[in-house]
Amino acid sequence: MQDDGVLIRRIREGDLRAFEELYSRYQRPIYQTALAITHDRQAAEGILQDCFVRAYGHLGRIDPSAPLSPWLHRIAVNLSYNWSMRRRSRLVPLDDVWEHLLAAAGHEPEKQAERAELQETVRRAIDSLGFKHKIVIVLFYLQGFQLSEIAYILDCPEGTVKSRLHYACRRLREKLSREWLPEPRVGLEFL
Amino acid sequence: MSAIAELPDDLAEMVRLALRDEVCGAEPSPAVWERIRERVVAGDEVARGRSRTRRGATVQMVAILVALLGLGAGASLYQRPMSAPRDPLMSTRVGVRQQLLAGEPGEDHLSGRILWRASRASPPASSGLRRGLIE
Repeated sequence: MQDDGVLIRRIREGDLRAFEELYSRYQRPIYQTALAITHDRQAAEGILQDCFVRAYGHLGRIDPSAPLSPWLHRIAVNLSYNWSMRRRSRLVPLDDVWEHLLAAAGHEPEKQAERAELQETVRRAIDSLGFKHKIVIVLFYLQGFQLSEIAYILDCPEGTVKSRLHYACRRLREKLSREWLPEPRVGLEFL
Repeated sequence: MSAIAELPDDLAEMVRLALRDEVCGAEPSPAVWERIRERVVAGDEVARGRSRTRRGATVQMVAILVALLGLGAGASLYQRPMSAPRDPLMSTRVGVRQQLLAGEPGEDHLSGRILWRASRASPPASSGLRRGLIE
């Protein structure tokens, strides 16, 4: 498997196969990030498409030795932000989306349904966060980026990322304590 | 402050699971790559076309400038100075010019004036001053 830098150099020389290889390497994380933000497969595919078209146009400007994933995520996050701003006024309630997904999945065993219910509660809590808090949660917990990488992706100081993560987690904890844990759990409350 | 410590371990794990479960196995359709490829190739063509057009426009501009400069230079070379005296021989028709060369007065039919050649000119009969000189 060729190094990203080698692929970038090949792409700059007009090698479309190298670009396809780069796409296959990063399509899944970019798509998943977009999907986690939008909860819409079509929108996520659109963001993925735009992300790689833009990346192709700007590959000449990046340092081939720098890691590519944060840079691609930076483009994807900006596109996701634009998407969420456009859709802000006509967002589908998460309940409807979830019902739709459950209906598509058909009848599931009881255990899976319980797990799904819990996860739905968590997802609803994440979705209730503002974009800047939600994106930090997605990048940190889903993609496992370091704080410095998230700072690069969001183009803000690392301290800001820490602060956003702090507030996002606090809000999540409050929401989930209310919804998911109806009875206070002393062990968690005083951690 | 450790950011990950903001959520208790089980809650953090639940968040991870919830996020991963939603996107787990989710893959974009193969058509996405096809569309990207088409757009990239089309973009390349557009960029090349734009560069060709830009080059063509530059060449045209240079050609027009050269032509204009050439015309200007040519015109200035052949332009008669405004203050130069008018020689009737230069501006009259062949017949009149021959008359003038022969020392006879010629008539410019366009203006109706009688022309004389400066060096061998006989004064017009109507000119009292010149008549007086001849007489």
